[in-house]
Amino acid sequence: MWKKHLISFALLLVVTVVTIGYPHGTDDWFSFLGSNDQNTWNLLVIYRIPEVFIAIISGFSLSVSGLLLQTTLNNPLADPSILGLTSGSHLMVALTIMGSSILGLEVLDLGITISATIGVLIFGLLILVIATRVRSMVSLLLVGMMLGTFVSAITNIILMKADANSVKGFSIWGMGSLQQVSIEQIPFITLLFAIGIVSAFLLTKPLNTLVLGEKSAEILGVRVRRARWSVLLVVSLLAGLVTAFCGPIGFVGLVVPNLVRMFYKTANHGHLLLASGLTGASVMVLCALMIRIFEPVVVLPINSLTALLGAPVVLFLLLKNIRNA
Amino acid sequence: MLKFESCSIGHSKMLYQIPDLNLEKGEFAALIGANGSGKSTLMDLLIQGKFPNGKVTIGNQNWNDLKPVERAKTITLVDNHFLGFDYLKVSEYLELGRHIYTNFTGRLSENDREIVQKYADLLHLTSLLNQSTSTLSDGERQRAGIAKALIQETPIVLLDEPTAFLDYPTKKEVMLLLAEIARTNERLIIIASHDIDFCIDFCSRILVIEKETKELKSYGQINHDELVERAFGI
Repeated sequence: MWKKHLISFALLLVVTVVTIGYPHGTDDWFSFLGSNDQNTWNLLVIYRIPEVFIAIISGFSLSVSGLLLQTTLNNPLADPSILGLTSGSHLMVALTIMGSSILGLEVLDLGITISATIGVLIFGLLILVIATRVRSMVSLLLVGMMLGTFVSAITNIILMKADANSVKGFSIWGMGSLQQVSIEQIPFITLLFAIGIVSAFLLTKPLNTLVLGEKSAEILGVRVRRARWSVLLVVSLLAGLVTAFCGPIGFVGLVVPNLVRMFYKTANHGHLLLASGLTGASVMVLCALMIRIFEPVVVLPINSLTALLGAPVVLFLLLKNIRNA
Repeated sequence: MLKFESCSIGHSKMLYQIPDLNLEKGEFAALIGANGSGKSTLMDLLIQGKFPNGKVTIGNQNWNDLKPVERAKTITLVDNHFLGFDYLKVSEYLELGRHIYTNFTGRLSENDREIVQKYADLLHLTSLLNQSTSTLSDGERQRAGIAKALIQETPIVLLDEPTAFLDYPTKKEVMLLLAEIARTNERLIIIASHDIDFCIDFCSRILVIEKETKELKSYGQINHDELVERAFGI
């Protein structure tokens, strides 16, 4: 198992190095090495490193969030966007943009990030409260989907009232981006990420039993309700962090844990969490690299790119499930 | 060991009464009743520790007062709904039986591993340990479920329809095994079953949810016709 982790880590290292060293414009590969040009170093420190950093953080966080939800809900197709958490952030960002437009204030990146975080937290808490009343996990998933649809409708109505610039700003944020993070924000993001990931690993033991379902976990002595609350809090923190700094990014949290389970062939969440995190990080850094490669032709929004890569995998999983059923 | 006094069994409505019943270690008891009579409900109430009235005790302790971890060290249940997962290996499944005995990392001690191996050997699962649980046959999966329950090392083991879906030789094998385990491992094993002839042959005690009186009655020995009449009213 550790050999597989080593391969995943090596893969992440390779794509990270390649992405950092990818030539900018007509420059050479790794042009910053041996360069005395301040602009080249600025380009590396101000743009490239924060971009790769947030790609790693977002891929790791979304994949771990997806795995946590899939195990807790006993549903391989669960992820933060399906449960409506991401829609919550959409609504809060729309409200912020609309409010700023009415008040005649300029919308700052910081304003969007804070409102997105609050949105995920509020809707994460809402799902937590509903989860205490809804015993069936499938019903909870449906509640999440309905919540997401309802909130999206409100968001669209709000945007109808906003001016053209606000709508454009919201649409760009909604496509997701890995280029919104500055080097100064890295310590803050790292701190939140570390809290979320350490908490996720502390849930390894109850997660291993939840694979068998709630009743079996209860038989094994797990306080199921407490475990579900803990999982949803961790997911809210990690998904909120990503949505705040990158916009809503779908499919990674859904696809990566499924691929990891397929290749690692284990139900031990100590391994699955690490493997999902490393693989998710590699996928997102790879997406960042693809954006760089296609940049001269078209600027690919990260959300569209993950959907293009993820949708066929989801389709494959669905067909596989139907065949097995 | 496990004592019931004037208990009503049921979730929202009362299904039957247990006036007075005392079950001891080493017994292999069968719970017989018609569909919907409340066999699984009794098992659920024991697992959840939520008897609405009456008194259930284990030793001197009130059953409803047991904390989840204490309960998990006292009683376990094998249900036949587990169909296995592609990515869950038999060894991982069995190791979950040691859940309550491990620290927050879930890492098994040497002793834990020996216990897992012991019951894997006993249930003839050693050669299947690296296999996925989704590839097991019905009989193998039933044996794996029983092994996991025994690995949990609880004095009381409940099994909900352990012989359902099994062919005749496998049913016989499972019943023989359970009778042997109850006797040699000093456990109280209670099965809910519709295989009444197997229960009459192998169980040391038959608990019947009587259709007419709506009461649970205990019999050391009972013949087929009387059991059918009391349980199903025919």
